[in-house]
Amino acid sequence: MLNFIFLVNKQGQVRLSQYFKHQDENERRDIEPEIVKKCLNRQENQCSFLDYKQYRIIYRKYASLYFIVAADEEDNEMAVYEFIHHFVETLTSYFDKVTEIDIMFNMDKVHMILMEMVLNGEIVETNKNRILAPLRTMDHASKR
Amino acid sequence: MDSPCVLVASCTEFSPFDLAKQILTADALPDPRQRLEGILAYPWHINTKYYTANVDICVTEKRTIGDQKFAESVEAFIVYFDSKDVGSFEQVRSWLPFIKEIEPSVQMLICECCDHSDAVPRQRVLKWCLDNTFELVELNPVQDSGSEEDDFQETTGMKRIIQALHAHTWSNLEMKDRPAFRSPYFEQLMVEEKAEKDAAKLQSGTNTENSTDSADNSQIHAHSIDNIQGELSKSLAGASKPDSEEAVTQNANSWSTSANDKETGGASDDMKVKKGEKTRKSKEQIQEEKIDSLIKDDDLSMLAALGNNESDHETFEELFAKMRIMKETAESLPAEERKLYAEKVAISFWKAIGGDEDEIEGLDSDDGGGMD
Repeated sequence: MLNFIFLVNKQGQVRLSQYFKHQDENERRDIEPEIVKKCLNRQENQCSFLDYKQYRIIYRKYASLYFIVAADEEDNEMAVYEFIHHFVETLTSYFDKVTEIDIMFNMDKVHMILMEMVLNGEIVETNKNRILAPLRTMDHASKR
Repeated sequence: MDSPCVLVASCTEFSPFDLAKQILTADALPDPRQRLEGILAYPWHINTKYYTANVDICVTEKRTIGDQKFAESVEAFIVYFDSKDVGSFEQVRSWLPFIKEIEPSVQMLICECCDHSDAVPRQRVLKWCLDNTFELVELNPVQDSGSEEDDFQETTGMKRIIQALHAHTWSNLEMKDRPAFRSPYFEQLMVEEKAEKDAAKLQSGTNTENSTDSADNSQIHAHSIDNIQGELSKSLAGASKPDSEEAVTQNANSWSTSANDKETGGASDDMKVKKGEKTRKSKEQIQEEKIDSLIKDDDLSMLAALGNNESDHETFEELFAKMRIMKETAESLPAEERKLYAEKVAISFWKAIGGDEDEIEGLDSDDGGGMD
């Protein structure tokens, strides 16, 4: 299962973090910067997968944003790798070229998209239109 | 209170004023305002799609964070250094104690191009940045030749500096009035949807017209007279051409009377007939209108078209679809009218499939005759 996901900018500031299972606040404070540092420290030619404690970390860098996912060791890394890309693609299609500032000022929407895609740490929806359908309904309603 | 500010400094000969000029995208710096001794401020209006903010770009040539009031207003720190000069990097490091005091949200280390073979190797710079939450921005980076995915090309240089400065929630920012964020993707979808709807509306234009007609009672009445006019002139053989409305009503009266007679076996007394005349007249008028309007316009023309073009499958399918509606309508009618209705439909069908006119010749007139 996916344990948590972070969105981090190049400076190392966490722009979004979502945990799919309970994690102690103190533990979060400890592991967040450690994982972020590990990922940001890596060269471009290095593998996108790394092990950290009991987690398998899969990260991808898009422009100036890092998308970091902590999965379980027995998870399929490539599947998670593709999931990250799909998440980015969904954001891109919703925001039309997503940037850090879009994510910062539309936190609710980003979380909604993520919640449509992942339930209880499992990927439950991969159809972009279905992921965006509830948001679309909401946007439609608020328009009036 | 003073505006929040970006503190710009340089640890080389490179003038920090040049950096400020580039951030402001101005050819020449405007007249500065002295915020403190050795700290010059240039107003910068930030306008993004989400907010606007007025901040100061403060340039200093000394290593200072001014007084406490000023330090508290520093929300971003930009420092320029030369990766080919170890001393320059040392100077940056000497900024750290000051910076730690004010902890700006945005911290950027700027250089022209940081290479592995430089006096301060790239790896060391990057590590330092990571440890101190700085972002390294190169003004003239070595371009990766197509190794990056094109869709998510990294922004570099001055553009990245401005982008990073935008991606900060300035303490005095004013959110733009956005009643609802509308995704451009959805905007596009909505436009497409609307176009589709409009096209559909245009196509069913005649249908909707009919339905609105039938919804309007007064129009039904006007319609019924028209229909009866046409119908009677056709079905009542030998009847005079109905020139006036009165004549039509007359005909309708006689028709309904005879129908009434037929129903009661012709044994009813005058009063009864007269009474029936009145009540049935309006009723039958409406029924007649209903029947006619149901098969008259669209269906008859469609049936006629079918007769002309027997091999057209689509029309045949349409016909069958209508057939079901016709059947339902017939079922809702009283026995007498159902017969009439069925007959009309049958005749229409006969004509539609190109049946011999002789076969049905006289059917209309027979019927009419019987009623007469």
